[in-house]
Amino acid sequence: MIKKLKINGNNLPIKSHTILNMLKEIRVNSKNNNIAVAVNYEVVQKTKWTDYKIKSGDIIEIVRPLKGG
Amino acid sequence: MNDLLSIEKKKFKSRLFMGTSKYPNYEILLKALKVSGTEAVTVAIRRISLKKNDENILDILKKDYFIIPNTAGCYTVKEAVLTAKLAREALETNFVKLEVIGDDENLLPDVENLIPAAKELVNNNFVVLPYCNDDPIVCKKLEDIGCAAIMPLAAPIGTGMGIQNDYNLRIIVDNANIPVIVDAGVGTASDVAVAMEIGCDGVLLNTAVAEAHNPVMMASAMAKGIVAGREAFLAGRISKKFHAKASTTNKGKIKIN
Repeated sequence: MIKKLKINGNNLPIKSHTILNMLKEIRVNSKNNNIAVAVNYEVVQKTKWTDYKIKSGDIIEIVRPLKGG
Repeated sequence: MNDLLSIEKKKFKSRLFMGTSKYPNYEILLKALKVSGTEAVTVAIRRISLKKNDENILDILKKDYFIIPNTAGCYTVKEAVLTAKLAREALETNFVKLEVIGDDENLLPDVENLIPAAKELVNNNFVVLPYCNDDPIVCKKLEDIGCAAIMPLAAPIGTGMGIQNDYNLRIIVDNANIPVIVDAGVGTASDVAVAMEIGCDGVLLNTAVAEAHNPVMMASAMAKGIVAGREAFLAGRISKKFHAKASTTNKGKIKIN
């Protein structure tokens, strides 16, 4: 079933059921240890990416560090 | 001389903290950081690009520095707290430079939201370093709610105007029982030295070095400025006097009638 997710402000159709598979589906390097994910404004720890079930309507933020002051 | 700066359980030999943005390129950034002698740098937290692979700043910094994420660009408590929590997850650190700003023209701290954001993060076991106004009352409130240091601005971010309210900063230093680290608005090495001479415990800067005509040389100047200011503070300056006091005795002076 296709889920309609908002990922980093973009409406995207996603087939995957878990965060880890969703990252793979959108070609994000999930092995990058310096990314973090929030679903509906709650951080989901990396250790839970294989278990956490995403659903249609979820708002997802995927972030990483970059240069800053 | 053992003159370490302690923030929570983390100790720093250098009292200069550096931001990592606005440099012409990464090569200059890395050279500037090296000559500055800094041990701690700040980074921001932003969305990854879904269209291309982003470079990882941590790969560029190569674990040579203690990383302090900021909540730059956050206007609300919820934004700042979520950004801090994402930063903790991404970087595995409890340290956060907390920024909650009130407008995008002056980038001045929004005290009304800064204090509850700081309180929520302290309650969630963050080591909170809040970027704040040079207001002694606000700084004391931030200390009282458990912030690990306070970071009053010298002047608005990126202005390079140097310390605008020397008097307030002195009160803040006098009242504080936690480190006072001047953050924002520094323009040149003398600004850093002045902050340290006032009794501040450190300085965080970014634009003053990154956008200097010669960033690497300016970083070197800042390194010297921070040490000069700190030593002058520890040495104890003479008091300011209204009238002159000769440095040379009049005894033995020639006289022409």
